[in-house]
Amino acid sequence: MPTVPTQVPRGAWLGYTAGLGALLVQSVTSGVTQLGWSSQLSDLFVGVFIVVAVGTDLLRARTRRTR
Amino acid sequence: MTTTAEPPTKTPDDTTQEGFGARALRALLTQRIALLAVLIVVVVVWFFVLDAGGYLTASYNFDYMSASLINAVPLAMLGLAELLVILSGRGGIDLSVGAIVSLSGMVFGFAYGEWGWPLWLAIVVTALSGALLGAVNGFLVAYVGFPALIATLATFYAYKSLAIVINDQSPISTPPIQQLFSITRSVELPLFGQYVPDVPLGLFTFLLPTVVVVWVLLARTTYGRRLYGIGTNDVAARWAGLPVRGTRFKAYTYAGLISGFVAVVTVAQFASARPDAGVSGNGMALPAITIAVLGGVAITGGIGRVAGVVLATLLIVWLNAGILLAFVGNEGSQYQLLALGAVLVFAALLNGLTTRRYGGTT
Repeated sequence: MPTVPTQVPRGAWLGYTAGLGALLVQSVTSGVTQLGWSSQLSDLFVGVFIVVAVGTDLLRARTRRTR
Repeated sequence: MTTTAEPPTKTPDDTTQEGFGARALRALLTQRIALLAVLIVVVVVWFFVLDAGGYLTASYNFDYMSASLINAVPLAMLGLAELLVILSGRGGIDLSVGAIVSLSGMVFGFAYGEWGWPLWLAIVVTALSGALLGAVNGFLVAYVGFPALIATLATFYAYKSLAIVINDQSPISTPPIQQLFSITRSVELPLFGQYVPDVPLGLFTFLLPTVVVVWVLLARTTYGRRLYGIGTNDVAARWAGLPVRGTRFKAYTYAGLISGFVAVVTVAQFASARPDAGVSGNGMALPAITIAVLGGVAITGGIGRVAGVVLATLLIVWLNAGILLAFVGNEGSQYQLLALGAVLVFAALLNGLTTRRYGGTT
């Protein structure tokens, strides 16, 4: 008897997280502008967010492996 | 019962039975230096013929080719920087070299143009700042385990942003910086200078030392052997007791160091420390990667030579110089991009074909 998947497929999560990423980048850009800072500063935050996001992913993967 | 299909192998007898055409094709495809030399001759002769036929907007001659070599200085240096990081393997690449050029150029602008430091000290500090920025990439890739593409993309954004905001989006064009333009002039070569065109000074002050140092580093030092080793197979290298992380970290640091020197060259060329010097338009990273790949550097790591990168630079620079004369107005610069893309696709296809047919290039 075929089993019914109980979890959201991984591909679907990809769509949600990509959307959240786009939202985050746009929020940062708007926030920087609202604060009256140079709009070019938003790229700095984008770079930092990439490092933090990928770093967190790596850390989580490592923690999972060591369990 | 199982059967295994063995790939066709060529015996020495097969090779000796090849005709001249097949042997020439094999030599051209497997020896990237020979192929690049032939392509350079083809491109130059082609533009000479177009010039003789009156199809170019100005004369494509040896003087023009020599003057256009000024564009080869930053391109070849950044190509060598990419050579080092790509050689280190595990998807090694540096998308941030252009941003490092911009940010280090601003550091140079402040040190030499604003604060009045001696030129040598400003150059040293600029190179060290480039090395520091490269070391950040190296730390993220070698020690934290970031994919090189993601790490250098992130630092590209960060460095580019810092370069622009550090001086409130303004270039530094003080008189000391403007006077630096003199180091980009062309000079007559000693001994046989009267027989050949004048050559840009930057070739001798920046490019030649960089080429020699990188060649010595890769071909004559233990570090170079280790870099090829970890690039070819980092697991085997680790089991062999090689310091994989340290070697990879240094490759990114050296790439940053070279980018720091390129920053000085670009400031001199523009007579101004521009915050977007390395990232305007398509930036400097993509042409540098193109040159490295065209020069025979395997994107998988472990394969690549300095001579290939230098010849690939000459090919691109003289091709671009010719394209610029083949079109009226600004149209030529757009076709240069098309040519760069076509050359990159050609190089990638050639690498694949050569690997499938002959097992790789040398």
